[in-house]
Amino acid sequence: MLSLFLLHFGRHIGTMTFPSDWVDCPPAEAEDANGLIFRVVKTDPPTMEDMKTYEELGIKYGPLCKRRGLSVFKDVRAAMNCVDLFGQFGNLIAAASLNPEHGKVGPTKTKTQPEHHTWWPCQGIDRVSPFTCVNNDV
Amino acid sequence: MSNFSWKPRGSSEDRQGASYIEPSEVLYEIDLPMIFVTDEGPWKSIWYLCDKTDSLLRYLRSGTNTDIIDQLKSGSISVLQALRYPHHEIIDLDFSFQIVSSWKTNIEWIPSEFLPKQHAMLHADLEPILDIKFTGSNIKPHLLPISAIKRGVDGAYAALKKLAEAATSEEAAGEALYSSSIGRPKRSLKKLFDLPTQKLAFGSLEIAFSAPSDVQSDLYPDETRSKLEQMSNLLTNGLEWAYSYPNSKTERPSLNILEALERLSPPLEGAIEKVELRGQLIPTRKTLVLNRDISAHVRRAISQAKREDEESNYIYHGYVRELDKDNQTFTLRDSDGNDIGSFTCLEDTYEDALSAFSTGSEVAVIARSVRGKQFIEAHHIITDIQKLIESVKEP
Repeated sequence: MLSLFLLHFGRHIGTMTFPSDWVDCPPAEAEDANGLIFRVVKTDPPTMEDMKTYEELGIKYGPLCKRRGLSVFKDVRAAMNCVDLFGQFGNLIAAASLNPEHGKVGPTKTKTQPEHHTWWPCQGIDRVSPFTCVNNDV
Repeated sequence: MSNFSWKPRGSSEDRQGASYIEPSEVLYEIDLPMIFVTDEGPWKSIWYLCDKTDSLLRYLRSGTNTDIIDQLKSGSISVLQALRYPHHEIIDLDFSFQIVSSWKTNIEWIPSEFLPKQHAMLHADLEPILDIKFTGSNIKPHLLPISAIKRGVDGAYAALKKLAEAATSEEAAGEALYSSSIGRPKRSLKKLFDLPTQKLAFGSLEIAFSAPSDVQSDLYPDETRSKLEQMSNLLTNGLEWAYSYPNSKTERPSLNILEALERLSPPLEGAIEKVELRGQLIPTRKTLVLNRDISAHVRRAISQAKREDEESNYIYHGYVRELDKDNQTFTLRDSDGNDIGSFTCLEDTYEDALSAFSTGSEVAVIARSVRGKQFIEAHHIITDIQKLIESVKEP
């Protein structure tokens, strides 16, 4: 199922841009999105409610740039661990195969979570459709 | 504004004028600090995000200290274990991290769906490769028979070794596990079974093994991870077969896997009555329980497999002239220095092999050669061979 999903969604989408008022965001160390990422979601199929940034949710804690991104994992085991720790906030794992047109991805600098990354979706991109729930495949 | 679906049980506290919460260390972060530490003078607290609405964050706050935090970060304890230390409070914060309300509570009063799963570690790589818990009516704190500890440790080691041998031999598609005739194995083999001990708990007799050090340090992780996945597949298939025996639709596992299952299963008598397995090698992410019925099934299958494998037990006489301490293999030679065979130590034979190597005395090795295996499996080594011969001669 994963391979079919990669073929279907790994396509060119458009030119990557970010809102003009984003200063130094995404950070310089973030790289073009490229490859498989995982995000914990509440519903299958995922909805926009699963893909809102903390800035969009009104959460004011932490650096602004970080709040403009979405937490993702590059390792499915890390996503499974997240479900075990915080299943109350979502117990499904969705996978997406991103390419540079989807935005930028950078490591989240935490010592205890080496697989945790932040995805800054580019402006106007459909964040939901690249994702497919893969719980039954892992 | 939506409200929380549950009201904390406990006494409400007056926190008027309470200040902004400043984490001293964030341990887990998904867009905001989900698990973090605060310092309050000489005291430390650990905070766990148990619920949230569109305007409030509800944390469980628990007393902690540096030692507990170190254990949490090293994988010696789970997140839930770290949260179980007294004292507990539920604290609602706004999205600016200002305290809105709080309750003194007890962790047992919090609905389980708002707490981490029992064995969830701080991050995925801290999950043990294999966690084996031995239970039985006589396995209690301060009443643990040493025989149970020995059986548990020996069984876990032997099972991992069998799985590693099976995984490596299947991956190599017929290549020898060992790279020379004197018994030096490929480097990848030993690190797959001589795993770092992550936890050894005597209250309930539990042993947990962490990933090999190269996986922890990200050296060659793909190669080792691939072999660990192979071990996981073999163990899973074996367990599926054992659970559905005798109506299993899956093929009977190889002798190596059966022997690994036998070493993991509880003995038919003694203190250990059940064995609980979990960890990265158990992909269902559930705790599996092996009981004595499964032990009996596995033993019957081993007997049948041995008959079918046309294997033979022999007694070899000679001198241990070469010994590989790392891989627990040795070469037996006759008195003229001619090779008799290369052996791998099983069960408790390594100490006897080391003794024979050190003293240079003649030994008898009771061993089993199995078709397709380069090394003969040494099951017993009799070091005092002269005494044995004399005792046999006496009427």
